[in-house]
Amino acid sequence: MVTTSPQPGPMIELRGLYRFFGKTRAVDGVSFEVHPGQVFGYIGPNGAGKTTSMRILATLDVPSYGDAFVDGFSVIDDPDRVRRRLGFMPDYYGTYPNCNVLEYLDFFARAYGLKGSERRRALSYVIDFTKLAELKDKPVKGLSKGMKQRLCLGRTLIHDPGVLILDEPAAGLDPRARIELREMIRELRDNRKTVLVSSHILTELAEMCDTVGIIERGQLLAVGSIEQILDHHRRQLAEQQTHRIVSCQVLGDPVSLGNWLTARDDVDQIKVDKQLIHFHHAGDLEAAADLLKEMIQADFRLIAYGSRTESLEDVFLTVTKDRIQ
Amino acid sequence: MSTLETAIAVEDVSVGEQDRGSRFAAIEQTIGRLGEYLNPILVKEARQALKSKQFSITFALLLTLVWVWSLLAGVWIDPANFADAPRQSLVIFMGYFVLLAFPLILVVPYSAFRSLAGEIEDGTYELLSITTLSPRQIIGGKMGSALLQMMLYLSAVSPCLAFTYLLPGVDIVTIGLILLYVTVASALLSILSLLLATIASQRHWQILLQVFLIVGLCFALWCVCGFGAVMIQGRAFESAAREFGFWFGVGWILANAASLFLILFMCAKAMITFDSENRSTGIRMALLLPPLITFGGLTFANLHFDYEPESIIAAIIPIAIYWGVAGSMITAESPRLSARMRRQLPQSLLGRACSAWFNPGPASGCMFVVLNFLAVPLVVTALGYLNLSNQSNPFAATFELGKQIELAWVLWMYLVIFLGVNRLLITRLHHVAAVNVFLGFLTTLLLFLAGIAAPVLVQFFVTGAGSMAYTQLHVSNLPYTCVELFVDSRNEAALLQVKWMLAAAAAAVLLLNARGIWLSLLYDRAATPTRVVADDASHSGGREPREPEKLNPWDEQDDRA
Repeated sequence: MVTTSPQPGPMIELRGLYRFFGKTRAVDGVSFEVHPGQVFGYIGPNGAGKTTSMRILATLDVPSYGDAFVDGFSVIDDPDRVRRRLGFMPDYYGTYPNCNVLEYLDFFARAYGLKGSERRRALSYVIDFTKLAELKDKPVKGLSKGMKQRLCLGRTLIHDPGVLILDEPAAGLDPRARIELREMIRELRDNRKTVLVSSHILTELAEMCDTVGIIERGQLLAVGSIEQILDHHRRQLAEQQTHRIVSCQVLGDPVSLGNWLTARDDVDQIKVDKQLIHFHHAGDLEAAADLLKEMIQADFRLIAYGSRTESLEDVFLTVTKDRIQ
Repeated sequence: MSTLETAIAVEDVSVGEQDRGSRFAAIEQTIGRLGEYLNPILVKEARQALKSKQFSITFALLLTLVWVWSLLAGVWIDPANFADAPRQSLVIFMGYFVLLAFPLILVVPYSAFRSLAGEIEDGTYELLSITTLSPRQIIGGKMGSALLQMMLYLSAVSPCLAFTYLLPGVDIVTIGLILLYVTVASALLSILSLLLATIASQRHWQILLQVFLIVGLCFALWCVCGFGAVMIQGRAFESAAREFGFWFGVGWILANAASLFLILFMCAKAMITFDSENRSTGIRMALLLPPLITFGGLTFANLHFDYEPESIIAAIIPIAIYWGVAGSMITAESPRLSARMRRQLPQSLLGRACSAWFNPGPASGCMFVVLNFLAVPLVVTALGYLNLSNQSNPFAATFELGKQIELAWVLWMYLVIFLGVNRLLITRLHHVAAVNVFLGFLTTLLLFLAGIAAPVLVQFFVTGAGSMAYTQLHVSNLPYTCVELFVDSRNEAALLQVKWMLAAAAAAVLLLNARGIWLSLLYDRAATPTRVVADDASHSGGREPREPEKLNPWDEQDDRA
């Protein structure tokens, strides 16, 4: 298997990366680093440039300017060395007809140059890790989406790469398959794999990633650990005042409650969705409790009331505000 | 115990159990060990093909048709009619040949095309390309799979072909040559189909290519069957096979086919090679083979067999077309030499001067083609003068020295002009658009057609449709100038002026390209990154990094790099 860099340094590094398609700037000067053992979440709406930068890292595309490095090797000048160290799982399955699970994995093991007992051990490990043992003689075309995704993860891991790039791995999976995938990614992190994972299911990324980067229109808008990004955002808000997000459900006319809230100075960004009302409330938990009391005293028939601080999703929406294409 | 360790333990136990198995298990293990050395693509394709309906149906159909034809032949042959027996035998043999040609010329190349095009469509090609498989292994594996299918189809028809040998009028040489002919044709068409599959990545272009390919393969099947029929009906092989010249001819044709196969293989490989890798040197080396084989073979034939000397002259025009087409594409290569490629460059100026023409790039490529085709007029001139001084040489009798030498030099000058202008044009185009080698071919073709059309149109509007005589105006008209060289009533004065104009234009074009050509010699070897050196050292068992390896004969001449 491939030896990883003995000297400390980022396992993944994007250095001033640009990719143009005609006049479109798919990737526009993106730079970040992912260190060994980190799980980096790449967040962005569709068309933000996540897949393009991942494809460049996987040596499937070349940048217009700049360079990217995997374990210190340039994706432009040393793609062969990068490929030995990297496993890429694209956002499609890429399976063959007339082929069963074991044959599929065996083919990719051979394609990565594994021979004899080394290949058999890799196959056993991957089948065990992805829990495909019972399915190994099953035709690939008969697998469910979740099973196919596990198979593709197995293919990505077959040559024991130090770096994994997973493009939207949870897309289209049912909740159970998502949980299984999340567990597998956590196990990979525990095995000191460096993982770059993109997703638009932000709650999941928040649970499995150490670091995230928010990309939109090809530009990296924020990068850092989830705590760093949330703290930074909260500090920005705290400079103005304490801020909580309130959601409540009301029986009767929600518009009158909306109007009542609009008249208040400590409430903004009110959104009415049928019987649900979401708004930002300037104040702490005490103030939120006082607001509930005032609403009941004003004869609004509330059946649900919740107050929370900002999540990664809220930060994402705020950071990319007015930028979504 | 970690998961991986558990997996190893389980594997060792299962292997141990297998070892205690029967003799068959030992054979299976041996085959398995041999299988480790097979191309992974070949293994995968073989597994898939054995399960695919397309192969099963084609194979079963071929087998059925061959047996039906055998039964019909058995019924048709009249043992009493000895006089007609050879004709009947050849018809039966022809039937087997056509049945074999159908899968070999139509099905196998089309399957090869679909095999690669399908991977590109389904995205599996991308997954393949990021494995450690090299482009050579990918194309080689697909080609190997096509050859395997060919062998299977041949094995289905072989018993029946052996049966025809028992019939009067069918000799073993004809059977062998026909099988060789159809197999070589199938291999060439398969590699061409693979090359076509690499050209278009978008679905609509692939569909268009597929239509062209099917039409082309049908035409090829018709040609192969037609030519095969001529070969079978000729029945001249058995007696001809006793002569050395016959086998020399067969070898010469096979060598040409092999060199063409190599070129197509290198082109297909280059099409799927990563951008920063060297895609050109292999193709350029392969390009040297066909002219060498053609010219060398014909020269040998002329000297050894008193062959027609005109054949050498007849080879000049195809070789000019060959270098023209190759050059048109080479001059559209990217002018940038990647850092990866520059790590392999010779260190000394002399080394660079000798090997630079094989490096990727339009300027070096233009010079590579021009210098290679220069060999043709030089050889023709040398042969001509050699024959003048030796009247006993068979060349002297029929060699029209003046015209042949003129033709070779005129074609060389046209090549210099067209390729040089195309390179200058493409250099400008590189600044405004993405250019590929096919655009290079297109621009050269347009230049060539414009060279014909412009003087014809000018003459038409100036003098009217009545007069299309050759004048100096036709200097850009390559075909007309070549024809004018050989006609008896040629316009000597105009032709002489055209030759001088061509010489001046060729010199001017070479001068305009001189800077680019000189710059292509000045590329320095790039230093190998320390990370790469350290990685190489780690793979060499932790030994200290060695001195840079000698990559070419000139590396030791200059220690400064």
